[in-house]
Amino acid sequence: MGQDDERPDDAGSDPRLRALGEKLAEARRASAGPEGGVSQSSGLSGIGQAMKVGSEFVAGVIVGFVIGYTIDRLFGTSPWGMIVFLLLGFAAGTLNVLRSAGVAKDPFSAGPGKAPGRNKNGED
Amino acid sequence: MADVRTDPIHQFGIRKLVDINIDGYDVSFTNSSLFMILTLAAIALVLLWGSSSRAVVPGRAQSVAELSYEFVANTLRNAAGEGGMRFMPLVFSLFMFVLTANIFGMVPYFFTVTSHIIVTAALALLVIFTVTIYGFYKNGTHFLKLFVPSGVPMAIVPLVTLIEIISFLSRPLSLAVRLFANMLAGHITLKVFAGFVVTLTGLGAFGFLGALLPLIMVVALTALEFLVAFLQAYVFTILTCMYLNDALHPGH
Repeated sequence: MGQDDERPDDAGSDPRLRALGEKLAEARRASAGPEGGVSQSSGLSGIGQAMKVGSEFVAGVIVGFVIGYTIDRLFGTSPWGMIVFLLLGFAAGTLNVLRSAGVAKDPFSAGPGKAPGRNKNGED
Repeated sequence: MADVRTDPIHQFGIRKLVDINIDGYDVSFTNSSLFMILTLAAIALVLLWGSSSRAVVPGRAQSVAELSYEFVANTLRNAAGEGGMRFMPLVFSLFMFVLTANIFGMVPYFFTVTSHIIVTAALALLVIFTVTIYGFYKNGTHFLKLFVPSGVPMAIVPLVTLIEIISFLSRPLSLAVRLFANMLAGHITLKVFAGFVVTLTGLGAFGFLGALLPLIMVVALTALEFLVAFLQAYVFTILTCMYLNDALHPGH
């Protein structure tokens, strides 16, 4: 989440306020916020990571399956729609996993914020 | 065998409290509805109470209200920029609802609303429909650029676009499944280990000693579940923020 990022709006003018803000940010970083502490501690949070990656992958495959099944039902192309879209779903699931692991560049999240929470922290 | 005390699934059962039937549709007031209302009431109570005093130096309730607001506001600002703040009501409501429902689920004998996929799916669909509709409303057809990554050779653009569309469609699914599966699995695990304690203590002195191990496990798992309850609410929120970011700034 990165509370330590610079805050554009407030605490700009008064140097004492700014110093306090910096101290606060320092303290927050030290006291292991929701993302810092969790991602570092291995073991149990690894289960959370596995759940996340698993759900990302399975979701891609399931969506591919549903699309393929629907196309087969609508156009009577069984089993080709299923085959093609299961493979595409597999690819999409792999893409999801790579994105959530931060290996592949995420073209989705390239706004101004650049989504600092996702890739490096691996929250979950 | 299906002893209520040790049956890990029994806690998720939907029971009708008030039978309501409108035009053939079953819209009964269930224990799930009750706990959704309790969740909302708890949120409203804490936030209203917290924001009523408006002291410069906040008291406890005001601290809770202000901290939760600041937390969500920072998450949203970091993920979606200043323009994302127009979605603050939605994102804050989602975060508070999921968090409170998760925490409520940790109270013994309470029903966990978020352990039912229909609830989490409704939340995820709300998010994804907001993203899609707002994306088209704000950017028009430019929103479709989301599905065509830049710098891809012309020959494989159709393939990549299909994969991106499936990846986009899989978002609400993984959003819903993750929250639901985490809550369901956590509560089942807790119940199974607690069931071991009950069963083992029925075996005399030796079983009593043996029951210590699952008891320790239950204590540790309870702590873990509180962490998961918070983390899942946070993950749900930050993913919502990132999807909203796509609606605000698609394409490059």
